Amino acid sequence: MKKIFTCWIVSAGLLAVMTGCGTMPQTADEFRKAVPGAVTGKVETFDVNRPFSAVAETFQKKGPECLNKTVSTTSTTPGKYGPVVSTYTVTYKPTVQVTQNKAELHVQQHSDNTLKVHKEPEGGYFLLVADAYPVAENKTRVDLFCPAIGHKVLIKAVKGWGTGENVGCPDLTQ
Amino acid sequence: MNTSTYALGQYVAGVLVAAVILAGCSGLRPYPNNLEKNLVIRTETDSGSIFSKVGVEVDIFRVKADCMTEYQGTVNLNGPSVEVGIPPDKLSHMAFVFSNSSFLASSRNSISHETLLEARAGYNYDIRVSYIDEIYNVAISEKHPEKPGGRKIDFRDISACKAI
Repeated sequence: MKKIFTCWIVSAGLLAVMTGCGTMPQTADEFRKAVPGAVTGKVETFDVNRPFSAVAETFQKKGPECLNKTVSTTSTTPGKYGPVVSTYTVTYKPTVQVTQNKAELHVQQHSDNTLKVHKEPEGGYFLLVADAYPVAENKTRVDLFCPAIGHKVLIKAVKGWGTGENVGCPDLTQ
Repeated sequence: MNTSTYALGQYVAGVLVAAVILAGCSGLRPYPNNLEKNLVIRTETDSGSIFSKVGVEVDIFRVKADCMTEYQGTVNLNGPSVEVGIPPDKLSHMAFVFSNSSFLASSRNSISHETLLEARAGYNYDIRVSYIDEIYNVAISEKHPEKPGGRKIDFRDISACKAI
């Protein structure tokens, strides 16, 4: 619970720093442009020895399968008058777009438990964008725009989908 | 019977009654598993931390003609291999629930992986369930005992029911 809340604070901080002018990225393109200059964001680029079509297919299969989820995390902490049970709910929305030369995976997140200072795009704030491009017949390049802190399991899973070495789903409650 | 034995018996009875009531209130019940076994579910878990543990179970639902689901029961998957029987040539909805309990943070969180499965009569299904270092996977393959080879069964969301 505390880890998830911390991730949310970092994500919100990332987005707030990125915008500077007080707006949140409203599209994947805006998110891509904002992340490189953000203190709490990062861009990772890596090549995988797999055909582009295979990477695109993995994004298309695993994105909806693993990320179309609403997760609730619950924790119990001691309170003054007894245990305090807290529940935090986040809805994730994956979008996969594939063309002949590019495969995109967008991940958005929405929570009703947070105070929204900035306009939230439809589907939630952008959390991660992964772009895959063919480099050679059996080589694909992946650009990953993501938070620099937190969401390690999600990032690990998306990298696994790119490499094909681990095509499981991230436990989004962690 | 002396007083202390009677008191102990009352305590045990009270705990049992409470457990029965709580089990009923939770809505979960064991899956009857009285059909011919056509699934073998093999489970491997490792939470990645000595301060937490992972439990896995599968909730089995019958899918009706209108694509609404009807809960049939739950199978605990905390052993390495479990055999289960689901109705052949009928659509079932299976929800694999991974529960991660952290001892330090006093938290318990669950995430489920749900898929439709229509078990064909005469076929067997091997389901590999894993949860390793916060990454989970459910892989289903179909085999016929008298035919070579087999095939992988892809994940199908409940919304696919309308297309069948």
